[in-house]
Amino acid sequence: MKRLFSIAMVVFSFQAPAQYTVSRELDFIQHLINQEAYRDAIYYINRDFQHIYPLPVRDSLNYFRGWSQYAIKDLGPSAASLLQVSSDSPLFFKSRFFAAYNYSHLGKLRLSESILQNLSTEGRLSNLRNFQLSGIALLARDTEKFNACFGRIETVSDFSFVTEKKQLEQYHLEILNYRKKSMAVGAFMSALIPGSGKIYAGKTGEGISAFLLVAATGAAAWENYRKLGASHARTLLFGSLFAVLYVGNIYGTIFTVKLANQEFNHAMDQKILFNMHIPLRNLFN
Amino acid sequence: MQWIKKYCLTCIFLSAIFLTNGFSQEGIFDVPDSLTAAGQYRDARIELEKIFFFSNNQQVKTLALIRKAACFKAEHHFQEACETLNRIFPAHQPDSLLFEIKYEKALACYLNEDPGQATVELLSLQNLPVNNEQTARMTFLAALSYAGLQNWEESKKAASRFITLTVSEPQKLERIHSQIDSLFAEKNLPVILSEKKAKNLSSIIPGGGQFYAGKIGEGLFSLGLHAALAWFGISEFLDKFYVTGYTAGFGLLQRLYTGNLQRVQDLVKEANKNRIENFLEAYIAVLTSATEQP
Repeated sequence: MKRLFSIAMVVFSFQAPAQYTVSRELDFIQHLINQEAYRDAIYYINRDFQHIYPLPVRDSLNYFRGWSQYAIKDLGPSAASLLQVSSDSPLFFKSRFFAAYNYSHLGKLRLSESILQNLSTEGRLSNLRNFQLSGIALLARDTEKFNACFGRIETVSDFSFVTEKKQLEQYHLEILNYRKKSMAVGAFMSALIPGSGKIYAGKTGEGISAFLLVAATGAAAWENYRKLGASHARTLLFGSLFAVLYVGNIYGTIFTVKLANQEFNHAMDQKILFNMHIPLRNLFN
Repeated sequence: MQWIKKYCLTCIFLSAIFLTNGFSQEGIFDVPDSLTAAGQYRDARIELEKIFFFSNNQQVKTLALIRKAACFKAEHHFQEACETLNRIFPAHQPDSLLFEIKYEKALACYLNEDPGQATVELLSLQNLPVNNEQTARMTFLAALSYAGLQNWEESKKAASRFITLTVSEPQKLERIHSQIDSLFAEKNLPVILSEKKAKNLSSIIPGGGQFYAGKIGEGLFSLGLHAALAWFGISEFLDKFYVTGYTAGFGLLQRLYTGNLQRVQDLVKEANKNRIENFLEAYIAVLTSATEQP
């Protein structure tokens, strides 16, 4: 008995300060995060916390690391760290939602969706989960899935993201109404009237500029041809220049149309992600 | 009972070790200072932030932040150095420390290319009791900060004061004073060129802005190119090649002309920057020569 007590006392003597120290260290990491010294926080966690700690400590460390990585837009590692937070942690839901959001931002929509699908939530969190899933479906341009998830969002008792919900619905309509520009149509139009394909792609200024350049070079080539004949060096020079500009403009139009489609999708994705982000910050911060 | 007392004493002993390790302020900066000396600035910064966080002593906290700012400074992260020093609440600091805080802040601002803020910090030091060495540091920085603001008069005043404080040898003092006088003579001060004037000159005579900025070769080339395109356009018109003259002559001329107007403004900016940099280089060389031992 005496020996057992002595061992217990010695163990306690070492354990109590150790636990106290770890708790203070966690406070310090939180302080680094509050100071927005995110890189230092990540470096410190990776440098000094390689031992095996009790689960709550590990959860806190993973959360702090993930949150700091999220703050510096290192989204992949951030999601990986946040996913290591266990379900026993009070930070579990926040970590899962932000991990899913990080993957959405990185375009890993299936991963993002599966994180949220496997999350068992209720009440406001269920609503948030459905809202995030709607956003992911919209990012994937999956109208059917969007309608299914969006319909499950309950806004009668939960007003926390009414504006964002309306916005998401608006973006859905914009996506549905968007007529994808055809590269073939753009190229054909530019072949018919130089620059018109670019105007079709929504780049009016570029189109007018291209038209003026090609038309002026063409007119100069025609003038030289008319006055000097087809074999004259000047006619060949301006004719070649016109041909290069004419073909180059058609080729450029194909890329302009492709870019215009990409720009629309990118702008839409950014808007959707922004609206997905707001309720997350409002609910968890 | 005896063994309970014995083990309780053991616990008190172990706790005492822990508390001594955790909170002793004796040699508290040894670790971060050695890390700084070894060039491990990030580790040093973290240790210093830890000291700031765990210490209850206001002075220790202040010293930790000053050291942390020095680490940022060594890493050339001057903005972060300023931000770290801004975390110090000056009202509770003793005068001796207040000088260091404000001086370091002024230095970090100057290095962060903000001579205006550096001057503001230096002006706030004027009412503090300072010794000769501190005044010398202050006036040196003031001379550079005012020069950065192109306030030559104040810069010269600060430089003269710095030299008087630093140089004891009369001959050397006279020599450096005359160097400063020569440097600040009107003909030697950097003349700041006007972007608007350069643009106007180039509008009237293409290449004129380049001549004004001191780029004679580029000015001549620009003038020649403009003239050649104008000549080509006119000659095409005279030969009744109207479209060719308009497109290849005047069309290109118009593009060249508008591009040239932007180009001269960039040239003037660059010329002004070089002039100030050259002046400051010569100025710093004179000021630092005051501190050199014979």
